Amino acid sequence: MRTGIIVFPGSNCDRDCKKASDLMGWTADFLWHNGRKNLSSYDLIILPGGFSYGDYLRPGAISSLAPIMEDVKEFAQKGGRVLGICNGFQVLLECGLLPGALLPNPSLRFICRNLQVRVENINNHFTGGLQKDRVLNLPVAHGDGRFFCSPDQLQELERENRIVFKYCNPEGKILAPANPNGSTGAIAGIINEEGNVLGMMPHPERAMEKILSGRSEDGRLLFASLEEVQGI
Amino acid sequence: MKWEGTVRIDLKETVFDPQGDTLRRTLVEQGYPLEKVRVGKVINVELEASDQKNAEQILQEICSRLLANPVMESFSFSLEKIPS
Repeated sequence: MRTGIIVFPGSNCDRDCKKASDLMGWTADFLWHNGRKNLSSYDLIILPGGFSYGDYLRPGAISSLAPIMEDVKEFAQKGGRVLGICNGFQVLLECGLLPGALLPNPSLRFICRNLQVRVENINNHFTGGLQKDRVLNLPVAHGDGRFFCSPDQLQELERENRIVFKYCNPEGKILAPANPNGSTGAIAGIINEEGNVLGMMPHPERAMEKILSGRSEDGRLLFASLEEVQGI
Repeated sequence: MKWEGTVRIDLKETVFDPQGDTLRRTLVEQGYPLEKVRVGKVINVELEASDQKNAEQILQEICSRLLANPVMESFSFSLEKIPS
């Protein structure tokens, strides 16, 4: 697998994504935001977490207009897989590759902790190697993680089975207290209509090694799945 | 011609505004009879445009493309000619 990791000024999970790729035995390149690039040789493009452009205006808003995003959009339109994690998810929403928006947490606090998400959909190019309803232990770290969309958009996401991860309790139950940021529909991750663009708030790349991640290696399950469903 | 634009961005009514709600609660605790507080943004810009219509078009475009997110925000703006 060859991965391209887009780096914006203020990205801070780019190296974690590279380390995750290295652990999987993949090749990964850092791609600077401020230039055009032919992405056709990549199997996966990652928009990493962080605070691109200092979250000025709205998280991800300024990055969504970066020159390389034209290439990312073209890559996605041709069926290439794009994974946006945390701030990367915010960028995907701002540039219109995914529907909805991410708003400040209702507590106005930055939430940084381990939690659980449930796999809702395995019919896509990312989670095809996972089991449906599997509970993953993953960390979140965000100030703007409240997924918001209109009731019509929520219905559409549900009808089209495009909700990939929901916040849940350790037993896999979707309950209000397990939803850390008041996200609409307990949504933690969604895909586009074609199933090749995934945005998610939790950080799988931070759950690759037990020594670093609160004893969870569940991030590896997602990365292994990415490899397994490659080219489908 | 130079123009001064004032862009106002508000969260849509259906979107919960935790900042506004925190301000409202604080002000109510201070004894003020507030029922609703919403926090928006004001962005001041200066631009070069041939006439008012052209300036409005530019502002409309930058609001739609970047300054406001139509999923959760609405915007309005006013324009004034800067005397040369």
